[in-house]
Amino acid sequence: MRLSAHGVGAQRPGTSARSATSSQAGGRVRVGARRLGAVLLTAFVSACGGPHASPPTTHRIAIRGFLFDPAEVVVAVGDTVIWMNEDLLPHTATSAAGGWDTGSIATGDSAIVVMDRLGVNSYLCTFHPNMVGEVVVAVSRTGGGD
Amino acid sequence: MRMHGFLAATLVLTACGGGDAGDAGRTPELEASAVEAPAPAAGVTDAQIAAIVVAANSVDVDAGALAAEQATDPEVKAFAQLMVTDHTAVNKQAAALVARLGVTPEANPTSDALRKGGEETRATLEALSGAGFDRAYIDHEVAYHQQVLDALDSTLIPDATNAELRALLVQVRPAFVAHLDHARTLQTRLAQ
Repeated sequence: MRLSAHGVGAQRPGTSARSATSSQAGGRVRVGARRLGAVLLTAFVSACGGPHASPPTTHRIAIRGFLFDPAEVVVAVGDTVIWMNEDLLPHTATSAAGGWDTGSIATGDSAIVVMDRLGVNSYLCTFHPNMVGEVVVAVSRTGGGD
Repeated sequence: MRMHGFLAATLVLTACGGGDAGDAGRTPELEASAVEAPAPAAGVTDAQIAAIVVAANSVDVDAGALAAEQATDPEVKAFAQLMVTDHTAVNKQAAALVARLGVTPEANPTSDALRKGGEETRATLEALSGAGFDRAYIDHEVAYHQQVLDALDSTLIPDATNAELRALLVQVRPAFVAHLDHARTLQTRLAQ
């Protein structure tokens, strides 16, 4: 997974987006609603700088009722996944195998992860570990050639 | 009998004042699923519901604060801290809503019994330590969340007349489901 977030210079695989004011060594940046556009724009530009032929797609996952909705998404390499917390309480979206973690997403806030590696990503909310979901990075936008 | 206070309170909660603490006694090992579904009770006002919600959350915050300090199992400790965080947040949301609605929480037999039960639960837990404490706390959490869920479904949500209050209760409900599932997972592991 590649971090691609506005305002964050360092990027490393397996990270997600959090606010620049609270970025950590892991390069996570939480994205507030007002920053989301800038982040997505940067993510788009970053993705287009690579070998991919088509622009990334954004996949939105609502967190409501202590569920990830939809619980499973299928994305392409380079696509962005956005988790939007519509619950009363904070949640995370954290890869079960490690590699990426949104950190705490406050009520009304959002966080993104750019998926840049093929594979099945089971994830959970570390606060409420019975909340689980899956992001399947199933295809490359270049048809699997890169 | 040491946990009777809490369970009595929760049963009173589900019955909205219609329960007798002496009749509701259960052992700490009581499985929540073994508790009979309470009969729906009539006539609880929004102001009383507000007081019940605040009391119910406060009780679990208090128990969680104790367990966060006293539990030995790391996962139980983390769960306890989560209870403090989540139920404090729910109470803040509830307080903000009732303030905006101009509702003054009204103490009632249910909220009083919850607080009394919470005090007794705390006293019970404080006398325990080690693995015994962890098991008793988690058993308490399973029973507590199940009872609050029953109360939400049978009484609190149906009786709430203000749409925003009812919406808050509906929105809070999944938190109790998640906490119950989490507590049951821990309960199963601790029993092994």
